[in-house]
Amino acid sequence: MSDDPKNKQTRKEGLEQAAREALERAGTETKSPEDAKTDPMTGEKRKEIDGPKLPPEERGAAGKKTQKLALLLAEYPTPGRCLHAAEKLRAAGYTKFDAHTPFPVHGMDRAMGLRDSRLGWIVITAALTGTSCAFLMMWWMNCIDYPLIIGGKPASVSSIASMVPIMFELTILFSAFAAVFGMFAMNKIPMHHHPIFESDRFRAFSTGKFFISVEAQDPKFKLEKTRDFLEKTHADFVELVLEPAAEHK
Amino acid sequence: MASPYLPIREIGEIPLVREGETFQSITDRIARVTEDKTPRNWWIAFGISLCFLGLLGVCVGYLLWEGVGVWGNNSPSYWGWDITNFVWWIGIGHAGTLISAILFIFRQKWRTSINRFSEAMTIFAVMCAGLYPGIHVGRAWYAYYMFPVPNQMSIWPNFKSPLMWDIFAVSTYFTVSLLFWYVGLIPDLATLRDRSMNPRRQKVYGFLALGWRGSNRAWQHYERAYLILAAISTPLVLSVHSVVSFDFATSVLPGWHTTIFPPYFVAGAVYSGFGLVMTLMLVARLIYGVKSIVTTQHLELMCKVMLLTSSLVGYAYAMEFFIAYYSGNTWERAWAWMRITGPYWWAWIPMVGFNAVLPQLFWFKFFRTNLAALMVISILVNVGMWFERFVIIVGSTYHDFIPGSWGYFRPTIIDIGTYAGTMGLFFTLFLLFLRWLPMIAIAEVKGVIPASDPHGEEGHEYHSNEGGAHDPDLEPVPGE
Repeated sequence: MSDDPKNKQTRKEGLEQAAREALERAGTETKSPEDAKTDPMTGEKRKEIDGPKLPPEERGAAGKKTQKLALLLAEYPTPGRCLHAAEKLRAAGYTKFDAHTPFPVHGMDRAMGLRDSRLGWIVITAALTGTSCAFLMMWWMNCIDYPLIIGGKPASVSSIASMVPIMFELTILFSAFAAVFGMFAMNKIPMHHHPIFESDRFRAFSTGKFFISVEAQDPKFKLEKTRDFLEKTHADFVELVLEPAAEHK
Repeated sequence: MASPYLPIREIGEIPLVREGETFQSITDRIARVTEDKTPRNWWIAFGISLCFLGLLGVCVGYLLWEGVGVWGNNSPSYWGWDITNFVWWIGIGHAGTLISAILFIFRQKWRTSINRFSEAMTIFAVMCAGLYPGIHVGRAWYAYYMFPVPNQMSIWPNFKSPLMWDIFAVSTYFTVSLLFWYVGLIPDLATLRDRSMNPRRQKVYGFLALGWRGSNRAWQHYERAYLILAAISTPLVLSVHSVVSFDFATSVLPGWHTTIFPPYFVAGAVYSGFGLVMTLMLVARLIYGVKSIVTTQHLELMCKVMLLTSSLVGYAYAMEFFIAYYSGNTWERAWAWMRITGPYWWAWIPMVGFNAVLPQLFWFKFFRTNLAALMVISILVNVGMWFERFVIIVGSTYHDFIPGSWGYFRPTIIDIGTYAGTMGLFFTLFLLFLRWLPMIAIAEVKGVIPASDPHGEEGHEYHSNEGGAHDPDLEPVPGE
């Protein structure tokens, strides 16, 4: 799972270098507006480019004026394109972006520049708590509160051998709870109200489409610029997603 | 470069999922089972299962009303079908954890087609097993004495007893299996949520999917949690049946008091569990047409695991007899001799025949790929394993040290009804699972088809079009 620490630095530099180059090339490739509408791979017309070109404040659709921008959503047909888009976004300095894929895509963590998950630290803490709780429980119950001498084994710490199975089981039990609920906490789930669900196309993420979302809170986010940027990553479709209206009444 | 996703054809590997399956087709094939109209066969099977579940209710109700005397358990065999069934059911569960945890750790990607299925089997089997300790204590309303809760006698459980270890092992096992299963289900519940057009389905699956958005930042922690759960379930599953075997091995009864029990029980558990996974999988393939995802190759690999564990079990049988002879102990030699020639000889024959001899057929490819043969053998495996537990439990207690206290255990109609009733419980839950939840891990199967490789053919073409943004360091490290 983890990188060889020796290679980590060079790999990281290599990645950044490659991604910078990719970005420069992408920038020079599609200069003319005509290019932006055709696929640079095949020369075909882009399938669809949807969503408002202007910021929503100027669209004139009354009632929607107060809605805030939430994110830009780009759709890709393959995991490869999605991965390269993530590489480019990262190289361009975006920080609040994410990939949404039907299954974990190999290499995406590295492409997005995510650091290793810290879940293991939560779990080991819980594991040791489980071991200690089991020992303290059995020691207090069978040795202190109501000493039981059974099978010639003394009611003291010296009969610890017979405590091992339960100490082990509670270690596992506590670790499992920590792994699952720690993961829930780190992923901030359950959360049923994310603005990304406003997009109808997004429903395809759990079937076979690959998405990149760039949040409006990202310091680098500029509607036009980011949209063009995403279009140049060979997206099939780029869509602007607004915060649900009800939240800003 | 060789992709870690693609089969290595040079050494005879073939794709895990039939070629031509796409993300969409896999999703459709699996999710549709929960969306289409319920097949008539499902209703028939469900009706039969519900009848048996009712039988369980009657038998357990009568037991609680009348007392444990309604069973055949009596001096000298105080453990009869109750503990036999407990050990049998819990053993069946072990294959599920083996497939979901141990094969995951070893990166055996073929497990993805069968893991959801067998994890469900684990949970339901452990539920059936967990029933027995609760009801065999006689006065079931005092079953809470088994847990360390304060009671009116101000006395605590005796933690030096292997029966207490068993309580902790089995309840931990059930909890961890349930958590593991649910974590695996989250992305697939999101798939069902997103496919659904029916608001009620959207609400229920949406609630259970916890707002999963397939975000890579979430996948990262998710995968780590899954890995940790697999890593802790691996020693757990080995410990559970070891602890079950301690119930016997820490006693001084000839036939029980032996050090080979923990590994012998674990191997037998995995063996019987694979047998049941095989039976259920064959039925599901017939009913639901998932042949392209659960291929003959999967069945063959399962046969090989069964061949291995059957041989381990056969070795343990032989070793028990050898040690009985080699120890020179009168009582040890007596039980060994009585097993073959005693009044329970008829239970020993299917035990050895179905567990150690029959699976040797799996050396031949014909039997590993013949569905009819697999169906018959996989059922006989579990018949054999039931007899193994019966031979160990009753076959060691009916002849103890004093000939004056020898007896002969006979089950009653309530014993048989309770056992048949747990089958009803199991199949009722299992059919509900098939009907309402994705029986194959959709997200995981997508991850093993060639199209899931971001550095596959298309990715490379794309790279070269772009003019060399390709960096060898970006390649996935094989085996990562």
